[in-house]
Amino acid sequence: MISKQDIERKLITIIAKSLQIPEKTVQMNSRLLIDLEAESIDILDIRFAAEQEFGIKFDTEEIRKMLLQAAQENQLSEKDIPQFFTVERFYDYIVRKIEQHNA
Amino acid sequence: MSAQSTSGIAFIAGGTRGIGAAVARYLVKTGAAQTLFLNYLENSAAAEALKNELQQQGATVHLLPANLAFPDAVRDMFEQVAGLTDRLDYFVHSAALTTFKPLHAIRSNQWDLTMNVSAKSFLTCTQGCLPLMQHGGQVVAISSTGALRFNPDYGALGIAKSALENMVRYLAVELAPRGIRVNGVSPGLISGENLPPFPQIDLLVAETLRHTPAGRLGTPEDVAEVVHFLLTGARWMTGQVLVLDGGCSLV
Repeated sequence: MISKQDIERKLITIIAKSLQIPEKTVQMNSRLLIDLEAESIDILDIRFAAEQEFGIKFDTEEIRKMLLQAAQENQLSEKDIPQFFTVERFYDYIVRKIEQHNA
Repeated sequence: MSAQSTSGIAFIAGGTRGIGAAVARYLVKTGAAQTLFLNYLENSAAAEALKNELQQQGATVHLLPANLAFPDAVRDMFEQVAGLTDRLDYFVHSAALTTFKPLHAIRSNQWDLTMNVSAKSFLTCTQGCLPLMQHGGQVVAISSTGALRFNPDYGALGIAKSALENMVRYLAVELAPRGIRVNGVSPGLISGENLPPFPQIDLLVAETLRHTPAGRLGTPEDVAEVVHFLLTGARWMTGQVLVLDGGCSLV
Protein backbone atom coordinates (compact mmCIF):
# COMPACT_ATOMS: atom_id res chain seq x y z
CA MET A 1 0.00 0.00 0.00
CA ILE A 2 1.21 3.50 -0.83
CA SER A 3 2.59 5.42 2.18
CA LYS A 4 1.31 8.85 3.17
CA GLN A 5 4.78 10.20 2.50
CA ASP A 6 4.59 8.87 -1.07
CA ILE A 7 1.14 10.37 -1.55
CA GLU A 8 2.42 13.77 -0.42
CA ARG A 9 5.48 13.56 -2.66
CA LYS A 10 3.49 12.46 -5.71
CA LEU A 11 0.79 15.09 -5.15
CA ILE A 12 3.40 17.84 -4.98
CA THR A 13 4.97 16.54 -8.20
CA ILE A 14 1.57 16.54 -9.91
CA ILE A 15 0.78 20.10 -8.80
CA ALA A 16 4.21 21.43 -9.78
CA LYS A 17 4.05 19.74 -13.18
CA SER A 18 0.57 21.03 -13.90
CA LEU A 19 1.34 24.60 -12.86
CA GLN A 20 4.87 24.49 -14.32
CA ILE A 21 6.47 25.67 -11.10
CA PRO A 22 9.38 24.22 -9.09
CA GLU A 23 8.32 21.52 -6.61
CA LYS A 24 9.96 23.44 -3.77
CA THR A 25 7.43 26.23 -4.19
CA VAL A 26 4.57 23.82 -3.45
CA GLN A 27 4.16 23.67 0.33
CA MET A 28 1.48 21.80 2.23
CA ASN A 29 0.03 25.11 3.44
CA SER A 30 0.09 26.66 -0.06
CA ARG A 31 -3.35 27.81 -1.16
CA LEU A 32 -3.87 26.44 -4.66
CA LEU A 33 -5.99 29.26 -6.05
CA ILE A 34 -4.26 32.12 -4.26
CA ASP A 35 -0.61 31.35 -3.51
CA LEU A 36 -0.02 29.04 -6.48
CA GLU A 37 -2.39 30.99 -8.79
CA ALA A 38 -4.08 27.84 -10.07
CA GLU A 39 -7.14 28.38 -12.28
CA SER A 40 -10.22 26.19 -12.33
CA ILE A 41 -8.94 24.28 -15.38
CA ASP A 42 -5.69 23.62 -13.48
CA ILE A 43 -7.63 22.18 -10.54
CA LEU A 44 -9.33 19.83 -13.01
CA ASP A 45 -5.96 18.95 -14.55
CA ILE A 46 -4.46 18.22 -11.10
CA ARG A 47 -7.53 16.23 -10.15
CA PHE A 48 -7.40 14.13 -13.34
CA ALA A 49 -3.70 13.42 -12.82
CA ALA A 50 -4.29 12.50 -9.16
CA GLU A 51 -7.18 10.21 -10.11
CA GLN A 52 -4.92 8.40 -12.54
CA GLU A 53 -1.95 8.28 -10.15
CA PHE A 54 -3.86 7.04 -7.11
CA GLY A 55 -6.62 5.02 -8.80
CA ILE A 56 -9.47 6.90 -7.12
CA LYS A 57 -12.42 9.04 -8.26
CA PHE A 58 -12.91 12.54 -6.92
CA ASP A 59 -16.32 13.92 -6.05
CA THR A 60 -16.45 17.67 -6.69
CA GLU A 61 -19.36 18.13 -4.32
CA GLU A 62 -17.51 16.34 -1.51
CA ILE A 63 -14.53 18.65 -1.97
CA ARG A 64 -16.76 21.73 -2.04
CA LYS A 65 -18.48 20.65 1.19
CA MET A 66 -15.12 19.93 2.85
CA LEU A 67 -13.84 23.40 1.99
CA LEU A 68 -17.14 25.08 2.92
CA GLN A 69 -17.00 23.40 6.32
CA ALA A 70 -13.49 24.75 6.84
CA ALA A 71 -14.68 28.24 5.88
CA GLN A 72 -17.71 28.05 8.15
CA GLU A 73 -15.56 26.91 11.08
CA ASN A 74 -13.81 30.25 10.64
CA GLN A 75 -17.09 32.17 10.45
CA LEU A 76 -16.63 32.63 6.69
CA SER A 77 -18.75 31.63 3.70
CA GLU A 78 -18.63 29.94 0.28
CA LYS A 79 -16.97 32.92 -1.38
CA ASP A 80 -14.02 32.49 0.97
CA ILE A 81 -13.39 28.87 -0.06
CA PRO A 82 -10.18 29.74 -2.00
CA GLN A 83 -8.56 30.73 1.30
CA PHE A 84 -9.04 27.20 2.60
CA PHE A 85 -8.17 25.24 -0.54
CA THR A 86 -4.67 24.25 0.55
CA VAL A 87 -2.44 21.47 -0.72
CA GLU A 88 -2.85 19.85 2.69
CA ARG A 89 -6.64 19.69 2.42
CA PHE A 90 -6.31 18.23 -1.09
CA TYR A 91 -3.86 15.68 0.35
CA ASP A 92 -6.21 14.85 3.26
CA TYR A 93 -9.04 14.25 0.79
CA ILE A 94 -6.87 11.94 -1.34
CA VAL A 95 -5.74 9.96 1.73
CA ARG A 96 -9.37 9.54 2.81
CA LYS A 97 -10.46 8.40 -0.68
CA ILE A 98 -7.59 5.91 -0.87
CA GLU A 99 -8.52 4.54 2.56
CA GLN A 100 -12.16 4.23 1.47
CA HIS A 101 -11.06 2.54 -1.75
CA ASN A 102 -8.94 0.01 0.14
CA ALA A 103 -11.48 -0.62 2.93
CA MET B 1 -29.61 -5.55 -20.21
CA SER B 2 -30.24 -4.94 -23.88
CA ALA B 3 -30.55 -1.54 -25.49
CA GLN B 4 -32.06 -2.82 -28.76
CA SER B 5 -34.69 -0.60 -30.33
CA THR B 6 -36.38 0.01 -33.64
CA SER B 7 -35.81 3.78 -33.35
CA GLY B 8 -32.40 5.39 -33.47
CA ILE B 9 -29.74 4.76 -30.87
CA ALA B 10 -27.65 7.79 -30.01
CA PHE B 11 -24.38 8.36 -28.22
CA ILE B 12 -23.76 11.95 -27.10
CA ALA B 13 -20.38 12.98 -25.72
CA GLY B 14 -21.02 15.78 -23.26
CA GLY B 15 -24.68 14.88 -23.38
CA THR B 16 -26.12 15.98 -20.06
CA ARG B 17 -25.73 19.77 -20.15
CA GLY B 18 -26.07 22.66 -22.57
CA ILE B 19 -26.27 21.84 -26.27
CA GLY B 20 -25.67 18.12 -25.68
CA ALA B 21 -28.65 17.91 -23.34
CA ALA B 22 -30.78 19.95 -25.76
CA VAL B 23 -29.92 17.49 -28.55
CA ALA B 24 -30.86 14.57 -26.29
CA ARG B 25 -34.21 16.19 -25.49
CA TYR B 26 -34.88 16.99 -29.17
CA LEU B 27 -34.10 13.45 -30.33
CA VAL B 28 -36.47 12.01 -27.74
CA LYS B 29 -39.19 14.60 -28.40
CA THR B 30 -39.17 13.89 -32.13
CA GLY B 31 -38.87 10.13 -31.69
CA ALA B 32 -35.60 10.09 -33.64
CA ALA B 33 -33.94 8.23 -30.79
CA GLN B 34 -35.47 6.34 -27.93
CA THR B 35 -32.24 4.86 -26.60
CA LEU B 36 -29.53 7.28 -25.58
CA PHE B 37 -26.04 6.88 -24.20
CA LEU B 38 -25.12 10.14 -22.52
CA ASN B 39 -21.52 10.78 -21.54
CA TYR B 40 -20.61 13.40 -18.94
CA LEU B 41 -17.60 14.39 -16.88
CA GLU B 42 -19.16 15.40 -13.59
CA ASN B 43 -22.31 16.79 -12.04
CA SER B 44 -24.05 13.46 -11.54
CA ALA B 45 -27.12 15.23 -10.13
CA ALA B 46 -27.75 17.06 -13.42
CA ALA B 47 -27.15 13.85 -15.37
CA GLU B 48 -29.57 11.86 -13.22
CA ALA B 49 -32.18 14.63 -13.51
CA LEU B 50 -31.96 14.57 -17.33
CA LYS B 51 -32.11 10.78 -17.33
CA ASN B 52 -35.30 10.84 -15.24
CA GLU B 53 -36.80 13.55 -17.47
CA LEU B 54 -36.16 11.57 -20.67
CA GLN B 55 -37.23 8.26 -19.19
CA GLN B 56 -40.55 9.80 -18.20
CA GLN B 57 -41.02 10.39 -21.93
CA GLY B 58 -40.41 6.72 -22.65
CA ALA B 59 -36.72 6.82 -23.56
CA THR B 60 -34.07 4.43 -22.30
CA VAL B 61 -31.08 6.38 -21.04
CA HIS B 62 -27.67 5.05 -20.08
CA LEU B 63 -25.38 7.50 -18.29
CA LEU B 64 -21.66 7.18 -19.00
CA PRO B 65 -19.47 9.19 -16.63
CA ALA B 66 -16.04 9.27 -18.24
CA ASN B 67 -13.16 11.67 -18.63
CA LEU B 68 -12.73 11.99 -22.40
CA ALA B 69 -9.27 13.51 -21.94
CA PHE B 70 -7.95 9.98 -21.51
CA PRO B 71 -8.15 7.49 -24.41
CA ASP B 72 -8.18 4.62 -21.87
CA ALA B 73 -11.33 6.05 -20.31
CA VAL B 74 -12.92 6.39 -23.77
CA ARG B 75 -12.02 2.77 -24.53
CA ASP B 76 -13.54 1.57 -21.24
CA MET B 77 -16.66 3.63 -21.92
CA PHE B 78 -17.21 2.06 -25.34
CA GLU B 79 -16.68 -1.42 -23.87
CA GLN B 80 -19.58 -0.56 -21.60
CA VAL B 81 -21.67 0.66 -24.56
CA ALA B 82 -20.87 -2.47 -26.57
CA GLY B 83 -22.15 -4.54 -23.65
CA LEU B 84 -25.52 -2.83 -23.96
CA THR B 85 -26.04 -2.48 -27.71
CA ASP B 86 -24.73 -3.95 -30.93
CA ARG B 87 -25.43 -0.80 -32.90
CA LEU B 88 -25.25 2.97 -32.74
CA ASP B 89 -26.99 5.18 -35.31
CA TYR B 90 -26.02 8.64 -34.14
CA PHE B 91 -22.93 10.13 -32.55
CA VAL B 92 -22.96 13.77 -31.43
CA HIS B 93 -19.81 15.31 -29.98
CA SER B 94 -20.65 18.16 -27.63
CA ALA B 95 -17.83 17.84 -25.11
CA ALA B 96 -15.58 20.83 -24.49
CA LEU B 97 -13.32 22.04 -21.72
CA THR B 98 -11.09 25.10 -21.65
CA THR B 99 -10.06 28.24 -19.83
CA PHE B 100 -10.93 31.64 -21.22
CA LYS B 101 -7.86 33.86 -21.45
CA PRO B 102 -5.58 35.29 -24.12
CA LEU B 103 -3.93 32.59 -26.21
CA HIS B 104 -0.45 33.93 -25.46
CA ALA B 105 -1.09 33.37 -21.74
CA ILE B 106 -2.27 29.74 -22.03
CA ARG B 107 -0.09 27.26 -20.12
CA SER B 108 0.93 23.95 -21.64
CA ASN B 109 -1.31 21.87 -19.34
CA GLN B 110 -4.29 24.11 -20.14
CA TRP B 111 -3.65 23.74 -23.87
CA ASP B 112 -3.36 19.96 -23.57
CA LEU B 113 -6.57 19.58 -21.57
CA THR B 114 -8.47 21.85 -23.97
CA MET B 115 -7.23 19.92 -27.00
CA ASN B 116 -7.70 16.48 -25.47
CA VAL B 117 -11.28 17.01 -24.33
CA SER B 118 -12.54 19.39 -27.02
CA ALA B 119 -10.80 17.97 -30.12
CA LYS B 120 -8.96 14.68 -29.65
CA SER B 121 -11.96 13.04 -27.98
CA PHE B 122 -13.96 13.57 -31.19
CA LEU B 123 -11.49 11.24 -32.88
CA THR B 124 -11.28 8.69 -30.06
CA CYS B 125 -15.07 8.60 -29.66
CA THR B 126 -15.54 8.21 -33.43
CA GLN B 127 -13.10 5.30 -33.29
CA GLY B 128 -15.16 3.86 -30.43
CA CYS B 129 -18.39 4.22 -32.43
CA LEU B 130 -17.15 2.60 -35.64
CA PRO B 131 -17.52 -1.07 -34.59
CA LEU B 132 -21.13 -0.23 -33.67
CA MET B 133 -21.82 1.53 -36.99
CA GLN B 134 -21.29 -1.45 -39.30
CA HIS B 135 -24.66 -0.60 -40.89
CA GLY B 136 -23.73 3.07 -41.40
CA GLY B 137 -24.42 6.02 -39.19
CA GLN B 138 -24.48 9.77 -38.70
CA VAL B 139 -21.94 11.86 -36.84
CA VAL B 140 -22.25 15.52 -35.86
CA ALA B 141 -19.61 17.62 -34.12
CA ILE B 142 -20.53 20.78 -32.23
CA SER B 143 -18.02 23.46 -33.21
CA SER B 144 -18.29 27.22 -32.75
CA THR B 145 -17.86 30.34 -34.85
CA GLY B 146 -14.72 30.97 -32.78
CA ALA B 147 -13.08 28.29 -34.93
CA LEU B 148 -12.83 30.74 -37.82
CA ARG B 149 -12.96 34.20 -36.26
CA PHE B 150 -11.25 35.91 -33.35
CA ASN B 151 -13.16 36.04 -30.09
CA PRO B 152 -11.48 37.59 -27.05
CA ASP B 153 -10.07 35.04 -24.58
CA TYR B 154 -11.24 32.17 -26.81
CA GLY B 155 -7.97 31.21 -28.51
CA ALA B 156 -7.41 27.74 -27.08
CA LEU B 157 -10.97 26.54 -27.60
CA GLY B 158 -11.21 28.30 -30.96
CA ILE B 159 -8.18 26.37 -32.20
CA ALA B 160 -9.56 23.11 -30.77
CA LYS B 161 -12.78 23.77 -32.66
CA SER B 162 -10.78 24.41 -35.85
CA ALA B 163 -9.21 20.98 -35.42
CA LEU B 164 -12.68 19.54 -34.86
CA GLU B 165 -13.94 21.05 -38.11
CA ASN B 166 -11.00 19.68 -40.07
CA MET B 167 -11.61 16.25 -38.55
CA VAL B 168 -15.19 16.52 -39.80
CA ARG B 169 -13.89 16.94 -43.35
CA TYR B 170 -11.28 14.18 -43.19
CA LEU B 171 -13.55 11.68 -41.46
CA ALA B 172 -16.39 12.49 -43.88
CA VAL B 173 -14.27 11.39 -46.83
CA GLU B 174 -12.76 8.39 -45.07
CA LEU B 175 -16.05 7.09 -43.70
CA ALA B 176 -18.37 7.83 -46.65
CA PRO B 177 -17.75 4.37 -48.20
CA ARG B 178 -19.00 2.85 -44.94
CA GLY B 179 -22.27 4.78 -45.17
CA ILE B 180 -21.31 7.12 -42.36
CA ARG B 181 -21.92 10.84 -42.82
CA VAL B 182 -19.92 13.30 -40.74
CA ASN B 183 -21.01 16.91 -40.39
CA GLY B 184 -20.72 19.75 -37.92
CA VAL B 185 -22.54 22.79 -36.67
CA SER B 186 -20.88 26.05 -35.76
CA PRO B 187 -23.05 28.08 -33.41
CA GLY B 188 -22.34 31.67 -32.47
CA LEU B 189 -23.01 32.83 -28.93
CA ILE B 190 -25.60 30.60 -27.31
CA SER B 191 -27.67 31.84 -24.40
CA GLY B 192 -27.94 30.15 -21.03
CA GLU B 193 -25.27 28.02 -19.39
CA ASN B 194 -23.31 27.93 -22.67
CA LEU B 195 -22.25 31.56 -22.40
CA PRO B 196 -18.49 31.54 -21.86
CA PRO B 197 -17.72 32.66 -18.30
CA PHE B 198 -15.17 35.31 -19.19
CA PRO B 199 -15.07 38.81 -17.77
CA GLN B 200 -16.10 40.68 -20.93
CA ILE B 201 -19.10 38.48 -21.62
CA ASP B 202 -21.62 41.31 -21.20
CA LEU B 203 -19.73 43.37 -23.76
CA LEU B 204 -19.52 40.42 -26.15
CA VAL B 205 -23.24 39.71 -25.81
CA ALA B 206 -24.06 43.37 -26.52
CA GLU B 207 -21.74 43.45 -29.56
CA THR B 208 -23.14 40.15 -30.86
CA LEU B 209 -26.70 41.37 -30.53
CA ARG B 210 -25.79 44.61 -32.31
CA HIS B 211 -24.42 42.61 -35.28
CA THR B 212 -27.06 39.88 -35.38
CA PRO B 213 -29.81 40.57 -37.91
CA ALA B 214 -32.06 38.07 -36.15
CA GLY B 215 -31.84 40.31 -33.07
CA ARG B 216 -31.24 37.68 -30.41
CA LEU B 217 -28.73 35.10 -29.26
CA GLY B 218 -29.16 31.49 -30.28
CA THR B 219 -30.54 28.90 -27.91
CA PRO B 220 -29.47 25.28 -27.35
CA GLU B 221 -32.76 24.28 -28.97
CA ASP B 222 -31.88 26.25 -32.13
CA VAL B 223 -28.75 24.12 -32.41
CA ALA B 224 -30.50 20.87 -31.52
CA GLU B 225 -33.00 21.38 -34.32
CA VAL B 226 -30.22 21.54 -36.93
CA VAL B 227 -28.33 18.62 -35.37
CA HIS B 228 -31.55 16.61 -35.67
CA PHE B 229 -31.77 17.56 -39.35
CA LEU B 230 -28.17 16.47 -39.97
CA LEU B 231 -28.75 13.17 -38.18
CA THR B 232 -32.09 12.21 -39.67
CA GLY B 233 -32.19 14.00 -43.04
CA ALA B 234 -29.53 15.70 -45.16
CA ARG B 235 -28.72 12.38 -46.85
CA TRP B 236 -26.47 13.96 -49.50
CA MET B 237 -24.58 16.17 -47.11
CA THR B 238 -21.29 15.16 -45.58
CA GLY B 239 -18.14 16.94 -44.47
CA GLN B 240 -19.98 20.24 -44.00
CA VAL B 241 -20.07 22.60 -41.04
CA LEU B 242 -23.21 24.74 -40.83
CA VAL B 243 -22.95 28.18 -39.26
CA LEU B 244 -25.81 28.91 -36.85
CA ASP B 245 -25.56 32.51 -35.74
CA GLY B 246 -28.69 34.35 -36.85
CA GLY B 247 -26.67 35.99 -39.62
CA CYS B 248 -24.10 37.59 -37.29
CA SER B 249 -21.09 36.47 -39.33
CA LEU B 250 -22.56 38.06 -42.48
CA VAL B 251 -22.62 41.58 -41.08
